[in-house]
Amino acid sequence: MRSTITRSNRTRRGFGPLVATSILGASLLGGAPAWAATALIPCPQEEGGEDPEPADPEEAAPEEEVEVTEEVTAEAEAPPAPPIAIRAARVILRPGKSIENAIVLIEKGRVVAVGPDVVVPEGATIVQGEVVCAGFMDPWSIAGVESGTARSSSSSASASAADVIDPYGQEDVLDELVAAGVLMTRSQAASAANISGIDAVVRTAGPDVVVSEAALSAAVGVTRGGFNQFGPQQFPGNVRFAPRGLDPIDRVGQIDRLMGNLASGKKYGNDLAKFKKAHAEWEKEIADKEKELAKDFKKAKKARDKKVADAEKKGEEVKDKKYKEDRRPRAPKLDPDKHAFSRVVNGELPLVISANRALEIREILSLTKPYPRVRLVIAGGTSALACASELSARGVPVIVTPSPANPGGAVGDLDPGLSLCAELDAAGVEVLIGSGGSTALASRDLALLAALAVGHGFDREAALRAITSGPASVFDVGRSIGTVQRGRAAELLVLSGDPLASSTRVLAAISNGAVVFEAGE
Amino acid sequence: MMIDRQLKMATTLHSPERPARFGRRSRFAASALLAGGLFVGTAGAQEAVAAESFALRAKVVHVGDGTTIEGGVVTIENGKIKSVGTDVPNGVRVVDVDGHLSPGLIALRDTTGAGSENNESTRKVTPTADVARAFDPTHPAWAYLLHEGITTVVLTPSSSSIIGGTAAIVSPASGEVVKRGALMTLGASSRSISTSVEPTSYAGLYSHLRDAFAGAKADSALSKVKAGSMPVLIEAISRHEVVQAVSFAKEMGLKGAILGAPRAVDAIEMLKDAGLAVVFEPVAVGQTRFAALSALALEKAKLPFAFTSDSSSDGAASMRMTAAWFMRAGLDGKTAMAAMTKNAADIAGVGASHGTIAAGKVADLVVWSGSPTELTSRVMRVYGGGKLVHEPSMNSASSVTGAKR
Repeated sequence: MRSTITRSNRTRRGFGPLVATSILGASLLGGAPAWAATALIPCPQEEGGEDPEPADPEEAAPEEEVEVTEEVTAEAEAPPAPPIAIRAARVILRPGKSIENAIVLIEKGRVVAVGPDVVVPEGATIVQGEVVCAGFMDPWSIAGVESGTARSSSSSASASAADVIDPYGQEDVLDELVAAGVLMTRSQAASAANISGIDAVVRTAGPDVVVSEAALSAAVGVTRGGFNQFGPQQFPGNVRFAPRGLDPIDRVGQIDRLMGNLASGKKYGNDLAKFKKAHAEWEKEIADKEKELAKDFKKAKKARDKKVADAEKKGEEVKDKKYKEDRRPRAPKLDPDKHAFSRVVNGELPLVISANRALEIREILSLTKPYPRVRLVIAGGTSALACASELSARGVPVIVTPSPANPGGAVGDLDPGLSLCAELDAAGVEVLIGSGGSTALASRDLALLAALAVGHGFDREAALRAITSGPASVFDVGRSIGTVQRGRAAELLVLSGDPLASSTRVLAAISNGAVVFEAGE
Repeated sequence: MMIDRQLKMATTLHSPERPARFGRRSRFAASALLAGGLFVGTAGAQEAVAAESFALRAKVVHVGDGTTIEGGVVTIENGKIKSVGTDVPNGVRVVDVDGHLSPGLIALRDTTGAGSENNESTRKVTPTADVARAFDPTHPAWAYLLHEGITTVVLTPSSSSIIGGTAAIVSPASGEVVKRGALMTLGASSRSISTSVEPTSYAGLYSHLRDAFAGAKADSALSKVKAGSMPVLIEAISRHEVVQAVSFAKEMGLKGAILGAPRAVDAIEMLKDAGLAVVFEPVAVGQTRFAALSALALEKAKLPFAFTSDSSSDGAASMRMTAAWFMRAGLDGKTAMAAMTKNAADIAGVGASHGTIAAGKVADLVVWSGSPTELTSRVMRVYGGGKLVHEPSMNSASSVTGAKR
């Protein structure tokens, strides 16, 4: 039963390639660096700007797996490489399902065969290992983002992390990530900002941008450097540079502003949809009128020529007939930030809100209710357990960063510490494990974080899912990473043992169809 | 009356049948009771189990020196380990534990519960300070250490001291001070220098150190350090600090370990020459690889190393996480295990009573769901001095639902 609503939402959410339906699409994409993948933007099929009825769980077929079409660029991008055949004692097809003594064959960036009796073509690169599994994906990272921008506290909703991916400055970090098996990240810029902007899914081995618009991320209660007032305000010296403390009123204010953004995004989206509709009608009317006029073109031309000649004779101006079709519908004033939020409101982009306190999470859940298509993701969620039933009912995933630090502090008794993953999972909440972007290198330790959660009660398969297929499906890259499956893109790891074992080493990493890492002796 | 109640509680808590619970809902209350009970009721509890001898049979017994015994049986009598093998002695009650058994883990620094009572903030040199006096066995946070299988820690003076005094070996499992005046801690890093208390420079720091060593009175702790009969823990972080600290230790003939030294990889020969071990601090997620490379280099050079747990700042789980992180970088699991048990006990100077599962040693034992060096393994039971002192209730999260809250 769990996350039925999400699934039904997803089945209802249609995707189609972007065919200039967005007046902003071009400008948003135009900013992407030349080496970025030419990602198609998923966009909803025409909805007429109306909010759909809340998804009815009954309506959704209880499908085992919901396929979400998303952008896969491997075919266009794959470099010509020889086939790769991986021989392993165990192939983990997806968390919970594995086969023994199998071969995985990769051609042109895709897995073309998996099984015990796969015929290895001549000239194929052979890779041997104990275990094959999907590459890890960090759903909460700053990896690849230019270091200054990653920590920035000023950003806007339309700012795109894909624009600030720094393949040169971040090279060493990304190499370590690949060597640790972290082949994709959802990377956000401006991690200290209340609204960070639009995140990118980054393929660490490229590095390249797999999805340039993966989610819109925001945060509640981020403390950051700034001038802090202390002591009585009438004394001008009472200001120092220190992390700005945020009181509960500040944080509620942040939530209110965020929700205000959703409201104006919704209005903008509606206006835009109205305009698009009116524009389409107008174009049709023009076409109809032109057709009508063309029918009697010769007659009309003769009549007009005569009219012009008569007017000249009389020294008068020619007055042409006014057509109502001449009035062109006006587009709403261009606002990239509102546009970004309008796309959140209609479910094109997930909305990732970093929030830890129970009160804030509850507030976010309650205030996002009027937007049934918003794909909410909570990041952090230290005290999310208090809202577990609603998170579960609404299918809101939580990205947890397991931390060995003792629980307690500001959030006190509501903080279950390292058993958070286990307890959220037991309450039916979808748990993803992310490094939290404390540093770019933090993503490297993703498998250890997952293991730590397992050591504190989290189910082993759920933990593997939380760093592979889970993030892939939440951020719409399920076809690019997360499983070992025929026809899917080859983002795979060859390991010396179980993916979560301490002693396991990454023997090889395959990304975008090529061996991008091999362990040295 | 209060004491009576606590005594009673202590005895029930410590009998193998009625373990202390460490569930989510009752965690804080239970751990406070546990620690409180231990503090007041140790003597009574010991009497209650004095006559008892029993055996633990585990899937795998990790001795602590790197070796393992499949289907091993450990017999416990009077809080001590009586025998280790695969046979059950006649007439001894056997408790089958469905998991791996290891010695309790040992952390070379933890100041949980000391508050700031281990920190003489106005003076940098206090060699006669005895940090055992800052030990608060009733502090609830000790339960976090038990929850991670850590049964013995070195309670040290604050890092901001230069000679902070003698560290004590204490047991979160039994609430007892295992050894007073066990090690002398020296702060030889920038952490010991401030602008408000002299010395304010690195040169000044060593001047204070030398003065203190030169003026050590006979039979004082510092004279024992000079004679090599009391080991030292010298805190040094950067490469430069490590080089200075190792040279000083060699010059003075000190025995013990450098604490910190994430880049010990660059000082292997010096460390070997001075006969010093290394104690690593917790490696936070996303830190550089140097500490792991250092551990690999020490393993190769057969130099012992251990870990701090620093649970008040980094969390008790950070010790095993650091070990797992080193293993992920290539460290052998046996070396990692020894670093948390045998080598740690040896560095702390309690190798005769702690650190391995061997006849005559204190029965501080941990039952794990799998190998102790796997982060995926859970602590299932903790025995302190042969008594069951901790049994987490949340072995699976299935019984807990957030919805009920």
